[in-house]
Amino acid sequence: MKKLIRVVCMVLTLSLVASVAAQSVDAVEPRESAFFSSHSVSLHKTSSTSLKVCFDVVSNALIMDEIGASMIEIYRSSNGVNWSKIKTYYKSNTSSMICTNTTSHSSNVTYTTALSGYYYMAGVTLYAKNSTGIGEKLRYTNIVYM
Amino acid sequence: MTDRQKTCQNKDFEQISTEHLNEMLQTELKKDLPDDSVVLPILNTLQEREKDYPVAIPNEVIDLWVEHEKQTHVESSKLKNKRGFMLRVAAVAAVICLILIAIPRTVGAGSVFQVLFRWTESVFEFLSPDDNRNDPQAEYVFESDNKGLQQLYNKMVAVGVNGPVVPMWMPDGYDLFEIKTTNSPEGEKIHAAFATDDRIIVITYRISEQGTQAQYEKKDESVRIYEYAGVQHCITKNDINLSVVWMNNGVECVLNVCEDEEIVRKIVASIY
Repeated sequence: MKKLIRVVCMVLTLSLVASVAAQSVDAVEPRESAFFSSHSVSLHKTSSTSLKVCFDVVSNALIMDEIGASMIEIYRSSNGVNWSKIKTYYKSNTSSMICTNTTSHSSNVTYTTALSGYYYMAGVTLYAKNSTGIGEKLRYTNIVYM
Repeated sequence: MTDRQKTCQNKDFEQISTEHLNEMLQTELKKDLPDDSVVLPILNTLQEREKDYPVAIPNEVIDLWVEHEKQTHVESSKLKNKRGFMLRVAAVAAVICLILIAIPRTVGAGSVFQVLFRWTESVFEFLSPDDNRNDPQAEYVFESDNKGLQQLYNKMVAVGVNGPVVPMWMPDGYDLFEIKTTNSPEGEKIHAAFATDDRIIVITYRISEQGTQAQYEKKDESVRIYEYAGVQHCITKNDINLSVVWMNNGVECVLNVCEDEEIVRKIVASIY
């Protein structure tokens, strides 16, 4: 009976800690939802050596001075566990990543030197800017095996 | 029975012959529920007499007493086991309830048995595409005084969606600001924004055979389910706006509005 009570207390404590931890994580993250309504990112194999990173982002009922992605990073792995960054696209040198004076933007970048036998993934930093400030959110795509 | 009563009863039994005591004991032990307050004093008396001279307690009586002892012990154990089992069941049920209460705060779903969509503290997402994409919509007719909504409906028909997904009503003063159609390997996206001098309504549709990777931002408040025409519309707050997310005819739909919930529900109801 005493053992049962100890187990019950431990499970209760773990549940409470998990709830508090989840709340704490949300409390630390920036409130980017003020800028974004919805978004989607995905990675697609388009040929034996090419990958296309797609994203779309919609503002939170606001006309944005700029909206899209500020950075896209391509990652590669031989085992799907350990990842290395191999390519970075910036909005400053990839004009299709940003649209101006609008409520939504969809676009993509193509990576053309993918190697067979490797796993690939992309990190997309979604971006929106207006007179009140800048909102950013990092999302990772699905994994593709070449 | 108090000690005084026991002493008195013992004294009473001392006056009774051994043979008669054996008969009383046998009679009591043969009952369905022998009374220990009768059995024990008789046995005590017989045991006291045993010290002075041999007391011939018949084997039959001894067997009845042994059987009675066994039965008493088994029933006592059963009762203890039953109590212990109920306590364990209650404890496990309490733990499960607490875990189920905790889970929505971290995993997110209106119900843990909901399979179509789920949400966390900050985002909402669909888990599987709608299977009703190709249901015939022969009876549906779109009619709206808002030219922007008519244009939006025409865009949806052009990509093969001619069922009820586009609102037919919007509050006065909202004119079409922009409408965009995008094709990607993930599917199609149709997006429209309607604006007044200081407010905007945004409607976005995502169409994909295999489902999308879309996430819908929300504040860390509970999701309210507004069911209309058999479709569940999830209403949440997103910063100062209201966000309505639903899936119908194989289309993921989201409406962002800076209006009160009564207006939002009227826009949603006008879809059907």
